[in-house]
Amino acid sequence: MGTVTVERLDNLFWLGRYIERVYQTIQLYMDGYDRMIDEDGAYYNEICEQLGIPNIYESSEDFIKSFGFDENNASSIISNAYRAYDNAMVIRDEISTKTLAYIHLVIANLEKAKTSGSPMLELQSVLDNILAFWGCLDDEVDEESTRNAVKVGKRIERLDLYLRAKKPREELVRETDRLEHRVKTTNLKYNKAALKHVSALIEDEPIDYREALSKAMMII
Amino acid sequence: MRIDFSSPVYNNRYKIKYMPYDTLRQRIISAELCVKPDNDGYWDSDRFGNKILCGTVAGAHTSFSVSLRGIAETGLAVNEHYDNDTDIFTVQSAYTKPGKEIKYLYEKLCKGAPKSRYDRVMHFMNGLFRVFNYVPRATTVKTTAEEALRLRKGVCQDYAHIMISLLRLDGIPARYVVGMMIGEGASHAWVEVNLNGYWYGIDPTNNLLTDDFYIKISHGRDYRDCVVSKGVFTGAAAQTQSVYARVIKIKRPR
Amino acid sequence: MDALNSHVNQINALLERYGVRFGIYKNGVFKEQLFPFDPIPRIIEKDEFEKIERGLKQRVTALNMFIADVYGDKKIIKDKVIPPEFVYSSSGYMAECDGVKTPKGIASHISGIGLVQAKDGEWYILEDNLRIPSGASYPLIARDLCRKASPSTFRDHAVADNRDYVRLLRDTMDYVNTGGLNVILTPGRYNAAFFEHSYLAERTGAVLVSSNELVVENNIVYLNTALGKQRVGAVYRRISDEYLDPLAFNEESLIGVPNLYDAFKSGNVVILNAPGNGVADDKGIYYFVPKMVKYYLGEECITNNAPTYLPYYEEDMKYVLDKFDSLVIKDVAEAGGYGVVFGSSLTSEKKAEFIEMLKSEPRRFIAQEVIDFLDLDILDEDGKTPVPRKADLRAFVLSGKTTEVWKSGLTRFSRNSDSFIVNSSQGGGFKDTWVLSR
Repeated sequence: MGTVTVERLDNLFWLGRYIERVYQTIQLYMDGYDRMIDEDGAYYNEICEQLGIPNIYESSEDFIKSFGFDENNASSIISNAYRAYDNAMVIRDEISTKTLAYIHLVIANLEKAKTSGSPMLELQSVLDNILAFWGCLDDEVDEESTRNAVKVGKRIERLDLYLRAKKPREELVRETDRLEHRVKTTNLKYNKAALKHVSALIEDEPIDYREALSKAMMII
Repeated sequence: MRIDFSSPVYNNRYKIKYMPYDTLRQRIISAELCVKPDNDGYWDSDRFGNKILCGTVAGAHTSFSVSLRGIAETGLAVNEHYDNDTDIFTVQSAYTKPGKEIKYLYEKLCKGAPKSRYDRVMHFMNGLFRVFNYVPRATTVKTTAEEALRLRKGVCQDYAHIMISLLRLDGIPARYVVGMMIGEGASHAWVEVNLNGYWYGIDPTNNLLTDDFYIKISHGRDYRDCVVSKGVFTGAAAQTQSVYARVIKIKRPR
Repeated sequence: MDALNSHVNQINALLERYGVRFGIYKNGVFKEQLFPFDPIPRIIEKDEFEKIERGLKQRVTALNMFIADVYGDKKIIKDKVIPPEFVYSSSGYMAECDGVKTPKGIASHISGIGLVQAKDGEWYILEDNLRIPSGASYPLIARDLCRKASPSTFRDHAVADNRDYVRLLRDTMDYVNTGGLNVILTPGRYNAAFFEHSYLAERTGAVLVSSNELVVENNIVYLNTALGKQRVGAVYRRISDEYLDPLAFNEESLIGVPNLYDAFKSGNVVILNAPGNGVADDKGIYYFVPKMVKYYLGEECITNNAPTYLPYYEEDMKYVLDKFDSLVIKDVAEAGGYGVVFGSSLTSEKKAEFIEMLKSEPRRFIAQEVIDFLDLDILDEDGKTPVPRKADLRAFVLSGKTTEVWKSGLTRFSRNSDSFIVNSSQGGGFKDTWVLSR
């Protein structure tokens, strides 16, 4: 260990964040897609609100197309996948070509889903490939602090999304604990006080989600 | 030499090629160097034997200056050391590469040119002096000999480059020299030619042979090898560089 | 081999999966393209390759001696074997390198030698690349993928394993390393060969770095890691000389490492390949390589140059003007397939213009006989029909403790049947190169 530079730690961390964002938003998207088909055509408004992203969509069709696969839409699933890719390809030698291949496959799946009549099948492959990515990362990267930098990215992203979604206390406590445990094993610089603050805030009754989120954003 | 930055910069790594050294023609009796902001510099030299002051100013600063005070004894000889390894100065270089203008002038000057090498040098220098005009700011440091001659005007750098180009076309080794001349102002540039193995100084800007009014600082193939200051720094700032030299005549020390 | 043809789809899927790409700028926009791979390998018999190998070792040894001489005693110039203008007016000549000794005396550690095979079976050297020859990673990974797609092919044919390139490269870096890490210095992910930089870093265990991750203090190079500085002993740089160090070369370079050259000059780090090598792979100097071999080694040059003429010499100029239509003229300052003109392809007006230029700047050009290339088959777009294309071979020679020729190489082919240009930036593809082991 010791050859990872600050720049590359940053890439590892953001790779974790973006790939987790893709993973989580695909699940929201798949769930929403299903609901919008027959029940609730305006359901996408809720998704936007939950994620805290600009609601630029005119209809459920527009949402399905643009939020899923429009590269020019910064909040879209595909944009986030490309950002994961941008971070991953510059650290090939840290994460290995084998692991990086799953990111290539995620991109390929999404590009295919864009024009496919049944994008759900492709999206399922994206999820599978992301899970394989995590498995491969564990298997291929010997250095624990390197692996964990990616995982801290994942934890932070998940905490962020959970706070936005106003998830129940138990889930938040579990995520915060996991984050705290992980971040100690990396060389990432993090704000201990902010992390403590988040832990305290989610114990409050009622939980001030907005405040907790703003603190969570300060952790790294 | 002073550089001003429009906003603070740090980690300023610099290389300054502006230190005269002992040659057959000159001897540096004393030299007092003052670099501001103060930092640990060190001396290096380049392939041509020119001295280079190198260092890093780490902290934030908005100006950087190097001043040098000293006494040089000049005019000790008419030529420099014997040197027959002159191939590199016989070949045209980036700034001196002749185009139509220079080739035309060269061919014109060749008509009725004398036979002896020394006389030819003088003949070319006279010829250039007649067709070229000293006009400050007509050219930049990036102007090549060919471009300057097309304009028919320029400064000492351009005179030197065109002169070198003509001499090299004639098969006479010639090199670019940066230095100071008696009086006040910026640095000066002139030319050294190699005749029978000895380097002689000529100043095409003034159409003269160099004498004890000249203090040499560096030489090279052309301007590129004699750039006074190079630097890289962190920070977004515009920089203005000025070089000021004052040379006065004092009595010969005992 | 046919087995490979039938696996072309699987192989392409694998190439896609592993992101075997190269970058290209189109109208100023960066794009990544798959490097088209053709499954039909170029096959070189054992004996044939042994001869190429002997020739390349000799050639690269002489070229390394030439570089050391040019920046050292300059005997070859003093002895009038090579005219000084061919050295000093070469765009690759770096006056800054004069008098600088490279660690262990090696300047060209990784040499990429361009060859073509003529219809009569004879191999000719097209060019030497002693600066940053790229492309080794492509046949390296392609072989790996072909083995996955069709294991039986490699069981049935005795093909020399080309995966030892990784070992050769690592050994070369280790041998010249002055103490510290091996790093691969990349201009960044928007460089055409970024895939290669990152792949070779992964495979050799060198650290992939950008210039802002390196810092020079007191003429020692360090990698700025999250845990502090670590000393660097070898920089396999993929940045060209002029951009390497803004304080030594082009001051406007943003991708260089300030003072890196000083550290090299002080012997505190090795730079592979050494700065200034461009003087030896100049198209004008190419003409003199056989003379170099004779001069330094006292041997006849084993490799064949394409018959080359230097308009710089009067008799050659006469020949070139005489036979203009049958020759190919190359601008020595250009690379990558640019600045190459076939005499026969010019209109009479253009021809007159060109000859004018040739006469006014004879040093700028070389002229060569057009070699009748042996075409190689590639699979047509339908993936079934073999069609002939022009192809070259870039062989890689690694100089460390010993000089070794990699038993493979990058075979590139032209995209169109009427094109002679095999450069990937102009749409060509690549093949694996099999060297048979018995």
